[in-house]
Amino acid sequence: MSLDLNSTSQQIQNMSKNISARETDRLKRIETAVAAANDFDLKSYEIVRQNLAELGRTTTSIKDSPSKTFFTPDLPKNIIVAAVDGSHIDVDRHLAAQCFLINIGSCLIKYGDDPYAELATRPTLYATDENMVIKSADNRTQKIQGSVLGIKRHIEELKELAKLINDIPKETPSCLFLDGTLFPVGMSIFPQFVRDQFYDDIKETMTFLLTESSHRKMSVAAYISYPSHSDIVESLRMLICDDIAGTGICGGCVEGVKDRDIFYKLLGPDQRSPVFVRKTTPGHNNIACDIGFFYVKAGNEIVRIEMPYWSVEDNDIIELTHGTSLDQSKRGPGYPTVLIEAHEQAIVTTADRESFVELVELSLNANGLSTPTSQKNISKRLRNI
Amino acid sequence: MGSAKQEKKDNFSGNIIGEVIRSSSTDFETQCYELYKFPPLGSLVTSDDENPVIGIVSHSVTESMDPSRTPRPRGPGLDNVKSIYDDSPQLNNLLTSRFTSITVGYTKDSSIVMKLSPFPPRILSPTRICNDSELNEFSSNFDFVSRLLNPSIGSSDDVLAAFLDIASGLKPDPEQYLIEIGKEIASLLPGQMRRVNLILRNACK
Repeated sequence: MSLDLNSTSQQIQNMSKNISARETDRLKRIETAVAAANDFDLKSYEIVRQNLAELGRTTTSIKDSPSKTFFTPDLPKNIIVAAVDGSHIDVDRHLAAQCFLINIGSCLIKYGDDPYAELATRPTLYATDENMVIKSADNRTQKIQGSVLGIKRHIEELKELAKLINDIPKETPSCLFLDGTLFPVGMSIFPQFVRDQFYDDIKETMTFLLTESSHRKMSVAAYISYPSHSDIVESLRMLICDDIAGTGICGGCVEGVKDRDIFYKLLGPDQRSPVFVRKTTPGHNNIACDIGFFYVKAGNEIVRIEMPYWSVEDNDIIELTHGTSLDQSKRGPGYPTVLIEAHEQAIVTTADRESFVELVELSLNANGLSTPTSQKNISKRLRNI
Repeated sequence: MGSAKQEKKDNFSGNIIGEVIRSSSTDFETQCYELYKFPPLGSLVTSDDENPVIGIVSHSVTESMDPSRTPRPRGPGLDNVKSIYDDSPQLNNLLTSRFTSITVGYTKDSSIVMKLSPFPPRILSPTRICNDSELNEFSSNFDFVSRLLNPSIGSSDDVLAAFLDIASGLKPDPEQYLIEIGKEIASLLPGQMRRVNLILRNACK
């Protein structure tokens, strides 16, 4: 039985009516947030921010008013852009073999003199106890699957991005792109030893990128299309919300507003916002999770660009990132060409997944092993009536 | 003897332009190593493996490697097609050029046999453009003409004319060559003199 679209349609219509009824109120809150951004008092904000930082809260450092805008810089004629993206086949408990696969796609494009492109895909199968499990010093274990595999894949993407540097001449300015956030989100739910392992991996890669960026003109950018972040809105609340200093519960002044909503109003075409910095530990640099970010109006949408925190002091790198992100978005069109092609290399289709299962079973059979599977899996394949 | 053989192999390898990606008893398809670097229509090519199969290029195509991703126009506003490729160098990786060759013979014991090969080329066999001496040798025997006039081949007359245009250029007396092969074509197409004339006229261009 397929989805009952008649029944679903009625529920969708009710949902749309509810959203429509709330829209006027949402627009008012956006106007409130935009007005707060225009009236932003840097000194007052810094006092409030420091107070909250001392209480251990992660805050956003704002050195320029959020309403300040920056025009598109010129790009060098010769430039290299590179990107990675990944997909995976998760552990399937119905299969005879317990394994997972991470497929990383990459794209490198040289523009200017002697233009060229390099596309690649690198599948890696994880099938041994050693590489399918994270172990702590006191022998606690965490299987790599589900959301843990998602983080593992993100880290593998970062590592692959770092490897691409070997293919980029030092003298050519370059911009390396990741799809989505710079650092993986959702790690806080994992046990400490899992988080430590992931942080160590990220730290190693970021340290390599930091070293490389010290002797070449190179930026690292995470491109987030249609972002749902609200870091700047939260910062505005610190100044305009009476409740924030007390209960921490907003009275509804800018509730539900996203950063993209206010920057859509504040930014002109191709313009970017100031660079903001989000540090997890006040007063300390954490190479594994501190970021700089800005918003840019690329075509019809607001894009959030995240950069490693060390980039934010170098205006040349910020301009390189701003210009390249826009240029790539226009070439897409709408989304960076280099990320589109990396994605196309990484994608694992439904047919690929079926072929993967067949290959696993064939290989096991060829080695004299039977391939038992669950009755549930068999019933899914046969679909008898 | 060994070095002569090696030298011959080196000369041939320079003409390798792609690899066989589909083969049958009657034709084989080659994917080019470089975009748009296919041989002209009517060129003589051979699969370069232990059972070399000789073919005449009858059809070429350039299209997206992924059928679900079609090219989109980049203009207006760009000066010329070269600037489009310079501006989007990844196109060279995403598009593919292929050509189909009608099987007209094969090589056995260093001799050309003008029949369908007992076996089609192996998939991923290199495909190379035949050199002038091979083309001269092949075109001196007219047995291939009947194969090319097979109505199952699309635009067969144009393919034959294109081949004759290339082959006659290597002959000491191109006009005489076309007269002689014209007689062969006429004998295979009785009562179709207008068609024969059209083939020969196209071969002279």
